[in-house]
Amino acid sequence: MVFYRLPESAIFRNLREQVDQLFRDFEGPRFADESAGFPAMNVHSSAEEVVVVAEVPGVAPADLDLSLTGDTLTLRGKRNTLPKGVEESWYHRRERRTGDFVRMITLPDRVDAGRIQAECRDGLLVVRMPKAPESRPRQIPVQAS
Amino acid sequence: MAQNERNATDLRTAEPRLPVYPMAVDLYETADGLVLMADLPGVRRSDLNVRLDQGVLTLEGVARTEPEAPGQTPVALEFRDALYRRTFTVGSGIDPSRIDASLQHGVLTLRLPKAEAAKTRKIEIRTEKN
Repeated sequence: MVFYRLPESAIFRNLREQVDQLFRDFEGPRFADESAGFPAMNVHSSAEEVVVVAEVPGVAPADLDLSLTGDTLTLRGKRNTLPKGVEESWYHRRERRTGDFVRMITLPDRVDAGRIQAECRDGLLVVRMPKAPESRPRQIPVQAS
Repeated sequence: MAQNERNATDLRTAEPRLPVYPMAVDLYETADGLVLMADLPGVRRSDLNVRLDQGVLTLEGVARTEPEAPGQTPVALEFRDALYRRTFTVGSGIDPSRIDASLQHGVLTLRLPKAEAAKTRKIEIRTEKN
């Protein structure tokens, strides 16, 4: 059986968005999936490199510790969420995670440990890891017998 | 409510395809005012709106989380680009002219000073002398 998706009219799109929003409102304030641990991480891959992006809002680069053992990437850090001149007991609402954290992930490919670059921007840690030569795609010529 | 919704749609109109999520916040109160910290990973200064209108504070920011590298395909994703939005009712006790906002390492810190009339005042008690 073949299903055709009809173009969605504006009124149904609007209704669908409102229902989606209703369900997201139930989920609470955190939008990233932190069920696997903090910080949430995205892994991307190209023919040349593996890129890991981690959400580390409020963590200064000096408080991050990144290491690679085999194909396991470990990120440790400390997050202090208390602003200057404020006592912890003065809170009305506290939703942001605080304290020490550690997260380990297994990379999808072998990478060249000597050429890893890591930088922070806007509360994201971006780690670029060039793939090891044996992990890069290799073209295999097919010959006629 | 209708008024707030209309005012809060600047970035929504600019980025209609992004899902809208509330961000995690901490809120503290000091003698001088409120301090609000909001996690906004991936939000640049140019993509952030902070507005106080008729006692309603609106925070909005577009999170851009894709790595700026060519030819990438996602392997595992735990977050994605989104429009963060949340509104707070702060009432009339805040002095809107002295709000201080700063964005550092993906965290917005808002200092909202109390209006003079809303500050706690110490009342001196006189004793009658006979």
